[in-house]
Amino acid sequence: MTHLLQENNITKGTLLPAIRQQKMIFVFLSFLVLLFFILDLFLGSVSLSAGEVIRALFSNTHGHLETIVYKFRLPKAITALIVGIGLSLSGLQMQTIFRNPMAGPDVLGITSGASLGVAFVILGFSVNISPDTLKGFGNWILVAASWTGAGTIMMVILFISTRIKDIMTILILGIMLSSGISALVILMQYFSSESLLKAYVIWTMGSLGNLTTEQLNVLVISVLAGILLSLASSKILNALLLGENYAGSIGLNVKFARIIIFSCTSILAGSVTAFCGPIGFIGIAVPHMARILFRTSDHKILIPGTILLGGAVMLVSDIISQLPGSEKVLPLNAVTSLIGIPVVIWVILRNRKYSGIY
Amino acid sequence: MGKKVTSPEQVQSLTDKIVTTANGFRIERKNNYSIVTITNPWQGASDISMSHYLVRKGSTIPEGVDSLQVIFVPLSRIICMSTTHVGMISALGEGNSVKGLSGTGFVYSGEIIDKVRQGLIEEVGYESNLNHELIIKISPDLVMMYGIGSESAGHVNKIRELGIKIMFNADYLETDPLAKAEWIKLFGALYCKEVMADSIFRAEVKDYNQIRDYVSENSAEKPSVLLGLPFKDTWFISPGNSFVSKLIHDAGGSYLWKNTSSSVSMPYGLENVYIAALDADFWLNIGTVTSSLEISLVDNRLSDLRCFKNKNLYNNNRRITPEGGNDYWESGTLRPHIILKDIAAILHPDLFSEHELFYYVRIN
Amino acid sequence: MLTIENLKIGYKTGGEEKVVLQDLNATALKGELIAIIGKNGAGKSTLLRTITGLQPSLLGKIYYEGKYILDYSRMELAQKVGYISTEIVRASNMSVYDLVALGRFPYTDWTGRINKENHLKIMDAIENSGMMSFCSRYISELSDGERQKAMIARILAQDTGLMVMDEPTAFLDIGSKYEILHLMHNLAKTAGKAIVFSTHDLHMAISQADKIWLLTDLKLMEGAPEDLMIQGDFDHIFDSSAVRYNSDHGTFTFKSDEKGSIYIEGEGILRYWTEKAVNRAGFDVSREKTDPSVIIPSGESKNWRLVIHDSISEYRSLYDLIGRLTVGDNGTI
Repeated sequence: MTHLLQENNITKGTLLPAIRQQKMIFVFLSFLVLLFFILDLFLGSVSLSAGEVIRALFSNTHGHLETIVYKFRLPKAITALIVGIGLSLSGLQMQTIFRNPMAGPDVLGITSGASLGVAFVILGFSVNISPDTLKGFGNWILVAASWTGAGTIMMVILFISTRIKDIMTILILGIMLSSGISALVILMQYFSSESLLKAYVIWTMGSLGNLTTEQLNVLVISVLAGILLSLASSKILNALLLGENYAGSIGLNVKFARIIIFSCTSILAGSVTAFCGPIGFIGIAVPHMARILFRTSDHKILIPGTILLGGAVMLVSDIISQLPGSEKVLPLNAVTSLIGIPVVIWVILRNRKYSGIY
Repeated sequence: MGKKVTSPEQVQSLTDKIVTTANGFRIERKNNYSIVTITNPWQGASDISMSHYLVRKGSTIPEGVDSLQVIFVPLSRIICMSTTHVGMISALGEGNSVKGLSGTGFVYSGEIIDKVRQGLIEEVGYESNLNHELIIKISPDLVMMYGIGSESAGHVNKIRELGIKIMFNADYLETDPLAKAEWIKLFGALYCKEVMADSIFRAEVKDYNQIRDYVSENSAEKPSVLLGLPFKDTWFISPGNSFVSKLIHDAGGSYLWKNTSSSVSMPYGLENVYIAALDADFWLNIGTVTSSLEISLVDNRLSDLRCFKNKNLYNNNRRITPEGGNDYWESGTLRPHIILKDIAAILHPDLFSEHELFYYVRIN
Repeated sequence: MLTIENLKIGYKTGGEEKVVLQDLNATALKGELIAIIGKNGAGKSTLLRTITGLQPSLLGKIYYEGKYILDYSRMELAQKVGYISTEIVRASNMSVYDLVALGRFPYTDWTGRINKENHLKIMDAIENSGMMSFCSRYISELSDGERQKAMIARILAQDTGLMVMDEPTAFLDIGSKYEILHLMHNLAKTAGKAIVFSTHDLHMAISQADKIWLLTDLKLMEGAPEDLMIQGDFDHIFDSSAVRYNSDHGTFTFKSDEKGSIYIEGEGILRYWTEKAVNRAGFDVSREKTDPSVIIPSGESKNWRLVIHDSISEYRSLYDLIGRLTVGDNGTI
């Protein structure tokens, strides 16, 4: 677009610098993501020197170092990157379609649905269904349950969204659904034994380090699908910024748009939650950070920007939760909230002019 | 009915320092009554002590003593919150006095299951969910609680108000296996069978120490031991000052984290534990798994561990019910010498070649 | 450009129909500025939404350039009619350029990429709405008038034959009101757009619109403002016990204020304003000489003279004159 503007002298002075600036921010963010990825490999629960990590990365042997780096750190770093991207993208889309700055991937009840599925398995049926059947599948049972829960909610939301006209009604229904499901889960927790309860609670704290290679592949594919869908939706999302009425008047098929966006969100949020538990806050915060950083509402810029920022933020959260230098670790959800919240508050306060968000 | 009730004179003849090992309770004997003091009966408690006056039925309450703190003994009706306690009561031959229990679904003992089925023992709920009306209907001489946190005291206020006697039992907080077993003396006092309780305990101490000494004299090596199972990518490690750590030590083993100290289990990163445990000789107390396949399903990196490859895997769930009851916690608390023998036999098979594992089973 | 035939508009809730208006027939031609007038709740917004295809009609047909509205795809329809509602667009970090660029939505490919042609149209639209200097400013920073112009730039960029606007000048200050009106006028006359807009500003509608769609109770009356005035249609919408509409002058008087008739002597521009002042005071201007009468200043005299019965008093300004006229409580002088 630069050449177009150069032809039009009047705007040259106004739009060009903004674009140049955005390009620089992209470069910087890409560098940051790479940096954090590498740091996440270097810093972990076991103290390793940078040299050791690098040697392990490029060696052919299968010693302890290589095991830590290849079996633990590399998959975890990739998971962190993918999860950060997935959650942030779904948050961005929710905030746009509902025109609500507080919306996040959990606003449709997707993550609650996933929690319900997992709660059924851990709290509800573990004791009643024959343990042998259950244990035969181990980890995959949790994933399947989570997906089923998320998928069911997604169906409900899609059904509602084609029947109900007002988007605000859908938002409220989604939130109510979410709360209702959470209440069900609380009920299950209430009636379960301590050890099962602990297992469930640990699941809700979120974790990135527990995926097998197979599971990681599935997660990456799901999130990639979500990314592609998102990139293809940037025109739709831009139109939705005007509100569904105006969007319809400029030619958008609103029902179709809702289906695309809700499906995309469900795939992203559902997959992440299925494999890593419900991870909070990132989905809400990162899109705001992107908006303020790039100073634009254009999703052609915001989507890639959110992708980079989401990856970076989640990598940082993982590094911190590993408490490098100590053997102990912190639950991921606590970290994402604790570092995210002050950052967003700081960013919003410094940019009050731009934070008249909707 | 069991042995005769101890007479007051016989009681006096027992040693003055009644409780030797346990930290959580003290018994002081007077003429016609005993004072039982429970200290810090839940995690995180400090400077909390509860005194109970155990007065013989038919005797008068000593002067100056608040009747609310008095429990008339021997008990004829008791409600328990833990199957461990029921185990101890049964060992004293007073199993018929148990009228209510929390967690009747998780009982191992066949006898108790029968009684539950016959309605002789009723389910009373747990923690914040106690069935107050049922407890009152049962009208026990005592309700024996165990607390998880300070709010536990609050849960019983309601029934205490109505005159039901409550006692907190903190045996699960003891970090020494023998200390846990010593709590039978508490029940001894409650059922006026102090002599019997005392002799059971002494026998237990003797057997335990015998095994311990035998091991330490006859083996030089201490195989390394890993415990537990991770949740997702966090492994909650029992600290070195826990009771299971002591058992391993006494069995001639070296618990990988024996040098740590904490009041709660410690959340370690999986990578950390993995590296430390790669060369562990044995892996014990592996959650509720019954096969090595399950272990690899929890996290497939665990199959790299040497103990996994050598199948030196042993879990303490040999004696379980389909509903999840485990005798390790039920009768095991009272007989730590058997647990010790099991572990010692696992770690030093040559020393205990005829011993058949009782609570433990090898995992394939 | 647009034809509506036997249109019945309203809402369907759970199987029940709520009719807002029916038997509507009207047309809008290119280059026409059409004002929709009616009481609040008469159905103006519903009609506008139905015309733009955002709401289905209950009965009847709508034609754009001779083709039935439902035969158009959404995108095609968006190339025919653009819409501005009373909803305020609030989007953070959206520049005027971005807003106007959305007008090209029906013309860009699935990626939404703005190519050279689209860009030029956008810039044209911005320039024609007088928003060039605001091109990269955020819409959240604009004043109401500027924002409205940006919205118009958007539908300009949408390059439609018909522009539909719901109360485009509501809440604007006088200066902005007339700027917008001026813009609309130019778009109709110079660019040949058909513009249908609803308004409460009767005066503006009558003086500027080529055609009025008057919505009363359940009917639509179509015609040039003057036609409708002649037919006396306007009188009905404002039939209220408090207000009377004078078709001759296109003005209102509060009935409670009606105080009688006055004869004005004199011609010229001063007569025009004197009549206005006298009307405002609640008096009718009579055609025959009556008592009282007002003589307009002429020649060297700068004062108004009021003749009541036989006494003559002089006033330096209309303010003073009116003050004297309204001195009695019950309308007597």
